[in-house]
Amino acid sequence: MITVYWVYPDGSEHKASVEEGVNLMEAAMANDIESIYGECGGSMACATCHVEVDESCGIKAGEPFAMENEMLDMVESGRTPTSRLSCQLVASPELDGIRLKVAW
Amino acid sequence: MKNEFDVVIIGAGHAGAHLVNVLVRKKYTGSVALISDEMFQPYHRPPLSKEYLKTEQVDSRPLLTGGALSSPNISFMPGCRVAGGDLQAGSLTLTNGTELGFKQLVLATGASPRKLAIEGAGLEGIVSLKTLADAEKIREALFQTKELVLVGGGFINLELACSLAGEGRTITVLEQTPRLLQRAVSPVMSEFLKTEAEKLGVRILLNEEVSRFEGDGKRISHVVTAAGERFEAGLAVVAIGSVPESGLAEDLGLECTNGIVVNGQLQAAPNVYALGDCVFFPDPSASHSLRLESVQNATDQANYVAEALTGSAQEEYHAIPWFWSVQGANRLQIAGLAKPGTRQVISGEPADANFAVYHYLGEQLCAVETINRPGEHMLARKMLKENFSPTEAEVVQGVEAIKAALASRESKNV
Ligand SMILES: Cc1cc2nc3c(=O)[nH]c(=O)nc-3n(C[C@H](O)[C@H](O)[C@H](O)COP(=O)(O)OP(=O)(O)OC[C@H]3O[C@@H](n4cnc5c(N)ncnc54)[C@H](O)[C@@H]3O)c2cc1C
Ligand code: FES
Repeated sequence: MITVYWVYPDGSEHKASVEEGVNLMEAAMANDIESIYGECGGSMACATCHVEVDESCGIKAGEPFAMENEMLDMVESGRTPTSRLSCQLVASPELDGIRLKVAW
Repeated sequence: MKNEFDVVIIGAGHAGAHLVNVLVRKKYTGSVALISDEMFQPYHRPPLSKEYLKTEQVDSRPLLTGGALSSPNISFMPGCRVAGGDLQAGSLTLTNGTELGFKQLVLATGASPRKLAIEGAGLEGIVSLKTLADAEKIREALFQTKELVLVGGGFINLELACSLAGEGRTITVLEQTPRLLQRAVSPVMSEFLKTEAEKLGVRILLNEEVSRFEGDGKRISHVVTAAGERFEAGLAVVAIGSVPESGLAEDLGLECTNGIVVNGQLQAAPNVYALGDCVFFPDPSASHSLRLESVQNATDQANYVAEALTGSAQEEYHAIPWFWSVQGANRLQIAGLAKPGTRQVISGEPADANFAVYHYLGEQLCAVETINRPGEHMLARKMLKENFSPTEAEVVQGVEAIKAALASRESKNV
């Protein structure tokens, strides 16, 4: 289990334990994170799982994959330097404590 | 005493389940029954023909959010089929005899695989692929046979063929028409997908009509074509299109043609909505109605009906259709609808497995197919939404030229 924080635009946060191996879009759905819908089920087809990794906590998620990168360039909520599609992030010990800003 | 609900949703596929998700997130407090004739928690169907059978997992990704599963006002009723009802009285009867009352009704009954009514169709080892239960049947058969015949060269069978190719299997796709996906994609795309599947060792035969199945009286052994050719088969997957599940709606007295007929508000009658694969809805950008089978259509219509059920008045339903398919290493995406008779402009090279096909009716862009270009697909959705048609020169120059043209138009409009 790792701990994941989702941070809303108003600064409020949702903390949850996530089993290793689960992708963070599914984790967001299970925890009802507002605005994350994962419409395509993690097929990298919808971009409704867009998040911004808050690296101020010291935990980074790494670079997006090539196709993900192309999608991120076009997300409606606007790309940031640490944007990721959360369906492509899989819970692992390195991500323990990660903070994800929910793109609105 | 019958169980009374504010909203009864029949069918817990992508449309019904997403509607519940949105109602819960909107903090809807009315009572909702979500009725499913499947035994499982609602799940994503697309993986079933893609990666699902390659893994050992036996459940697909869940559709309902944590909140939808735990909200006290949501009653999920699996393994229940609605047998009939009375719209005037606001009541429904389940096949087990239970009576339900509703104030508002949502039909999200989906579509079912079209059956092949030919000799031998009742043999074991002939399946279609719609549900998790179907996928499990295929998985079981894969332990027993390496001879697979896939009847119909549509999305489901092409995805399945590419995902099952290898491991010593013989996979043959038999398609009745002269090209794959004739009604859905351009000839260039049909040819590309055929070549790519063939590279994986899949045999694809066009203009082949299947006329009967042969077996030992119990299990299938061969698929036979009208031309008299016999193909050995331990498993035959029939995927030749779908028919809308509109029988219940007809019994309820609702008009059905190619699906349940609705108005621009997705209403089939006062207080009765229909959405997803089962609905024949007006296309505001054309003068006719259409039926779509896609996750996008189910989801966008569910978003719309959620607004309607929570009382927000709205304009007519309108959304840009989009679709994806994964065939082996290739990701096909389609934005808009590729109608017959379009002029097509190609950007990139099919040989590089990285290209796009732009469809125009006159000067108007109506659809874009992309292979392994998810960014361009997103751009295409934006162009269609903003009613922007790039010139042929811009398309050939590539994404940056299109983006620049779109941005310059946007700045002029401000
Ligand atoms: C194998 C496969 C792969 C796919 N891949 C893609 C893809 O890659 N991309 C894409 O965009 N789309 C894809 N689709 C299509 C997509 O899954 C459908 O468009 C979507 O599921 C439609 O949702 P729906 O809710 O309208 O219908 P469904 O998902 O069909 O759900 C309807 C449900 O209602 C139930 N039902 C019907 N009648 C009754 C009744 N009387 N009482 C109770 N329950 C009832 C049905 O059993 C069913 O469970 C795929 C479909 C399949 C089968
Ligand atoms: S869930 Fe669709 S892109 Fe991540």
